[in-house]
Amino acid sequence: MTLLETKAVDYYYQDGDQRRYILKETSVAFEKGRFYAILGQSGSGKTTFLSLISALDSPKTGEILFEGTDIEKIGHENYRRDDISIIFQSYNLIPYLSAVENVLVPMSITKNKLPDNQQEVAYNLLDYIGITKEKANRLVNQLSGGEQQRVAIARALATNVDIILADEPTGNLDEAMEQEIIDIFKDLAHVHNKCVIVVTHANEIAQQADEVLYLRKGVLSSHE
Amino acid sequence: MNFWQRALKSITRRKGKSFILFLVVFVLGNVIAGAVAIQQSTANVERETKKKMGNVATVEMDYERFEKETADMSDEERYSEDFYPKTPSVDVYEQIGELSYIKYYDYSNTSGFETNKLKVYTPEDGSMGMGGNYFSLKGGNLTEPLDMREGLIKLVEGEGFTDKDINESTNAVLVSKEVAEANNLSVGDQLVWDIRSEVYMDSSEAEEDEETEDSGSTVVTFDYPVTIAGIFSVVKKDDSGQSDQSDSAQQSNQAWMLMDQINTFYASNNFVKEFNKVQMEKLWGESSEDGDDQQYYTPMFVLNSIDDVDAFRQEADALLPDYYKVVTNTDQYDEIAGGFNRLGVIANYIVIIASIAAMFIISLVVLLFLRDRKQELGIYLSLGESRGKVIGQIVIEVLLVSATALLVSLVTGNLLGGAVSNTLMQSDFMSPQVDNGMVYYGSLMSVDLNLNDVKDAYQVNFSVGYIITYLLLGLGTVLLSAVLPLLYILRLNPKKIMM
Repeated sequence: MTLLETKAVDYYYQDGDQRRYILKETSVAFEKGRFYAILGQSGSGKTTFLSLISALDSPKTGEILFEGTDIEKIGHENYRRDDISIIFQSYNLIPYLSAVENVLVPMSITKNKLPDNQQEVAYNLLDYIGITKEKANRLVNQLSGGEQQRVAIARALATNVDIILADEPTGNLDEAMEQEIIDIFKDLAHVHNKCVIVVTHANEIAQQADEVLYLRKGVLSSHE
Repeated sequence: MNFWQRALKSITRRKGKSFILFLVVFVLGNVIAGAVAIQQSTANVERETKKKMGNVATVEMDYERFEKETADMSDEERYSEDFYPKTPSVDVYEQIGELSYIKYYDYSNTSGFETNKLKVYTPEDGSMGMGGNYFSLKGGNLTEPLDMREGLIKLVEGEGFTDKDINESTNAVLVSKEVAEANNLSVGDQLVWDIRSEVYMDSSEAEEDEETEDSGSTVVTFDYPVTIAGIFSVVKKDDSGQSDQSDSAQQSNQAWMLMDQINTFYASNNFVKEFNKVQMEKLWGESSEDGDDQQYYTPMFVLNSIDDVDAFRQEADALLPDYYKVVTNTDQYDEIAGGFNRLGVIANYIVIIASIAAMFIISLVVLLFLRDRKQELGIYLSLGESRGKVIGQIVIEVLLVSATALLVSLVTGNLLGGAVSNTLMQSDFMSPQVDNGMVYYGSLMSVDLNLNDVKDAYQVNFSVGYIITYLLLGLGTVLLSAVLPLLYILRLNPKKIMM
């Protein structure tokens, strides 16, 4: 069943009289329980595509539907708050908060129904992605890069949304850590029935994804 | 971890930046608090001093303006009959007296005379004397003279004036206890004022009982019968609160005022009018017309409150003829304590300038800190946090740190204001710069206060007015300072920050 869908999405920059297309006529559908990898070279429009489906920007034409409803109608802020989670390459954690406090932040923002014992849930999420309670209480800048990315993943899971979006999530990690993160994504998709969409240029992720989409010259296709 | 909790964590865990903001607000707050403390204290000392001065007004000619506007007139114009403005009529005083600001009023016809045998009061120690038996005579339209109503004198014997004494022509007078004792007078006594006056005139014009002295002047004497309707005592003011530093000139003035008050007879305006008429005839051989326009009345208006002074002045001035103006006894405050007014004005300027400077400086500091936290703000927005709550977090952080700094500077700024004030008190800064020379003696308009009394009354303390004014001003300034940075948050684009 389609969870997220783009329909004839165009994105371009106006350069005088000319339009410089980043994405052109992009139509694609994403389903629950699957792990997607979007591959492309630098400047191919991967990040722009991610910013559109994460409602950090709006397409020039076309529409993006979440469960059949245009996200413009849902409202970008509402959509980001209650329907998706984003994981960034540079983790983007709040530096003066501990790991567990970082996980608690989106819980206080979302309108989704969550269990009352949020602190316990946050610790459990961190435990699930391999962060011990002792480390969970540390300020995030006292954790390693891999640990910080795990905290970022735990934060993405905190609001119990169906779509997890990730932008180069293993870009700053070594190979061993990269595989651990990929395993978590696979687990989220296959065990926890999430729709995981990862934008990357790493072949290791592409090889293990359920579906790989290639972005070339603004056109998205399932063929390399 | 809502925005409130995040704000608290941010303050406590980013100690360096919180401290910098605290320091900036604290330093600026001290300047503002010091100025507010001085401003409040000068306003307070003015109000309190004016309260002590009383709320009495009179009417006088505006000589300064008259001289200025007639400076270019020719001698011919100056000698013309209508050169000097006509004094306000009794009707005008009565119209003014009907204004709602007036508690009660009176207008008084005054006179003076010298006697041969009737003795004046002089202090027993002989420190003061007038060189003759000089008395003052003060008229009025009230059965209870205004000086009595306002507590300047107190009736100690007799019934005082009756309606008949005031409205018809009787010879009832009130005499002071001291003069009564010196002359062995009691209530109900009928006596004559044995008037004596030295006049420089052609001896042929003098009528009776006159003798020519060697100097060429003529001494005229005549008797004027009066009845003692009451004996009053002068209410001496409590000097315990007065400054020890009161100068000897002021003490001397007070003693003269007291002596003058004791040597005053109170009577009705009709009596004074009649007395003046007789005196004029006896001394100058002239008979004056029996009209009010020949009499000079000094009005006294007691106001309900000193807060009414400005409104009363505005309305009463409109009723007065040209070149006449309302003067209140509180006007003398500027002459006594002009330095405090200047201090208040300077403090006002400092408050305004420091508040504007604080607004810009705090804005800049907060903006710089926000630029530093751009990534963090982008994270909140990407997580779906509303801009309102992001702004709320920043406002809470700024307000909590600033409020702490303001509370501390509330104390230190007050001490600073006190220290600055003390330094200025010891300098010439507080001395009055303008001396209009308007001093009133022996009436409700007189003020027995000097600069040292005002200095003693001046106190920089933690008044409710100071605390409320400073905190409102401080927090208002900080809130306004946050406007510019908040615009920065409204313009943030999370995509540009995060990707």
